[in-house]
Amino acid sequence: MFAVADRVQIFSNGFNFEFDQRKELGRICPTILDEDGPPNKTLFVLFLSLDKVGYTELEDHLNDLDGETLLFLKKIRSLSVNVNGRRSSRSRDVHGDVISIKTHLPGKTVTKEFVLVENSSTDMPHHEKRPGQRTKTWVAFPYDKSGPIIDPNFMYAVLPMQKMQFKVRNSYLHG
Amino acid sequence: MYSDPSHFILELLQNLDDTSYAAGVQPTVLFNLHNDKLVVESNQIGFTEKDVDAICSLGESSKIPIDGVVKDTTGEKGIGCVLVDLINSRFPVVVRRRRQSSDIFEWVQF
Repeated sequence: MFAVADRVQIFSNGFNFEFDQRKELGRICPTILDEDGPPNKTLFVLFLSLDKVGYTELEDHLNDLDGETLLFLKKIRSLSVNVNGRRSSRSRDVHGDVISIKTHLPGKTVTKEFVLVENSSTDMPHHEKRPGQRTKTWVAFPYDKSGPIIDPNFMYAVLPMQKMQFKVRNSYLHG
Repeated sequence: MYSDPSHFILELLQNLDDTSYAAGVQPTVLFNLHNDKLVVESNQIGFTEKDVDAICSLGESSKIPIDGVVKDTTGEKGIGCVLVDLINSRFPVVVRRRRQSSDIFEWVQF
């Protein structure tokens, strides 16, 4: 966080403190704050120290946060953004093996649907963070009323990494 | 680290996904950017005393500890940079080559 902010305040569960990297050892020695945060919320308040380019990048990134980011997160189901008054939100609903991602932008709501397919592997290479050599892979195939949507989509390791596209054989599509 | 703001946002999001939420609560995150202030709000259960201890010893890291443990990380990034912060001058980095353990290389920050 200190790459983008000089000062970070944290309000959580009655613990209210800040780090100020402009102070000696300020990144690790917190200052206790007198003020309290809102109940039942955890707040991180970042006082940004970005240059103009960095700030614009941050604005753009927050405005463009893809609803699909919620596809493979384990717990977070809703994500709202307010960038200097421009509000948008994304939410995720699951019905069986279908995931709906709704993106609410100023003046419009976009819904995308995905079929979720899960695969378990038990013969992965040994790794200390992978007990039992087991792992699970999920693939979410986008579709609409007319059928599958054949587009490049992000590959995720929980969060988006890079775009890739499945090739679909013509014979499969056309029977 | 995190010089790319988008990376920082995604890392924070992943950390918030790793924290605990009360039953019946729809886990929600809000990013509120107003001028030079970015407020990140979540409805997670909140910090314990152990979490506060952990974040104070990993001041640089955006990894949010759960029950005092930073879980599911690819490296406890905070530690190295806190040390750099403490020394705040030139520091050597010693790396041993994997296959020929007799070869040791040293880099000095300049």
